[in-house]
Amino acid sequence: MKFDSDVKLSKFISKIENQHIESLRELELEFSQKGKRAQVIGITGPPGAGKSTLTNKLISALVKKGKVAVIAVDPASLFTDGALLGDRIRMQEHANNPDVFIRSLSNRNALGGLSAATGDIIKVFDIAGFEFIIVETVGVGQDEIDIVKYSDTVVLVLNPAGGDDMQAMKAGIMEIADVFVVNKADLKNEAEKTFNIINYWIKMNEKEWEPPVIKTNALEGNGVDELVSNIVRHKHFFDNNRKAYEKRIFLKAKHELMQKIFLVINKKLETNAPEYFKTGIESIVNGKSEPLNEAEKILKGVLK
Amino acid sequence: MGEKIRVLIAKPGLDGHDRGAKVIAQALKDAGMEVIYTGLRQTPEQIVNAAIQEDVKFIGLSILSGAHNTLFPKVMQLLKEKKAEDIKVFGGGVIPAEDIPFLKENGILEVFTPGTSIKTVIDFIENELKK
Repeated sequence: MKFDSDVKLSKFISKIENQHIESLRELELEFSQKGKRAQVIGITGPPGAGKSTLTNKLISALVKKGKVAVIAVDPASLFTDGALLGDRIRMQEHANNPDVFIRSLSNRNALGGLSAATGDIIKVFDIAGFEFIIVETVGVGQDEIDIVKYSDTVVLVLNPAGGDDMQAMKAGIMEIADVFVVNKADLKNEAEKTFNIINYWIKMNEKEWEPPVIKTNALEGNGVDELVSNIVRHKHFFDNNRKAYEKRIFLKAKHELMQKIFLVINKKLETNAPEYFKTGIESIVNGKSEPLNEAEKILKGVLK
Repeated sequence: MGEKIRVLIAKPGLDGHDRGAKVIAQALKDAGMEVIYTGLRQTPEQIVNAAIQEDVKFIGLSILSGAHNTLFPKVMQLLKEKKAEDIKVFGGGVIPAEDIPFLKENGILEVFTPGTSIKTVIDFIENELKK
């Protein structure tokens, strides 16, 4: 598999994004031979916290060390399936750098903060020789935590003055952060408050890896060097603590396997059972049948 | 999972007003497309590189500055150089009628001037896809 131009790489990514089965097989084969080489950095946080702006600055810092790919995910409309992908606006200064490749993805209504193809597209970039792959999630709330399954390091970007935000985010997303960022630190008092709340939370939740909390002003680039050195430090932590790393790999493998099981079922449904599916919906609507009953009937036929 | 229509909406050159571009971007999104918007003041190089990386089927160029006769052909030339001439390009904005034939000669498929309905643009895209 050779990508000797951005056009070829890009077209292959589209096939993978559309979950074209033959291309996925090709990708798996190639990836299993080459193995994982890139470092994957996840950037997540609520809408408007500055994820894209920070990603932009991260690109500038990382591209000095190696080639950088960015996968930026934005939400699709539930009603039209359309999407407005605007993360790239903040990163266009890198558009002419041959060592940077930015791809925007719609989440295509997947839950979890990413799109179903994100993990596969990470592999494409890895094979294509990118040393750093930054994955930016949709703006998240409490529970969109798929990013942890694909990242070597998860950076959680938060707004200052988020006492209430923090309450809202306690359970799910706080737990997946390897590095906390309090962005917009030019709002000094508010940033300090959030900084203290997070540090308190960290002390309450002792773990093998104690996540650092970094104040940044992404627009100006303040704090970005500190962020990069902590991302590197976290990589070393994983390099030296294989057990901790294996836990994450396990999460990822489980997630990927489930996803591919659903993919295979979906493809089979698409090819073998579109009629079944239609009549199934009709009988539920007409009150002649119930969903579980229909599902079992369809799958019995499809998975033979 | 089906293929989606991907469109890049871009503003080449020096003008600071993107209400029109945003209206189009929003409308194409509502029509079920995946729209990438690259923001203000983009060079033709930035636009073409973004379009390639995003693997879009269409580029929509919005311009109000009057520099369309320079910037639009430049985009077309770069697409050709980078072997991405399968990407279809349309334009919109404040563009005098007498300039439109020149732009079309240079490969711009259609030019939408003020007053065009959103539906016209969507129909244009859908028709082009059938070709």
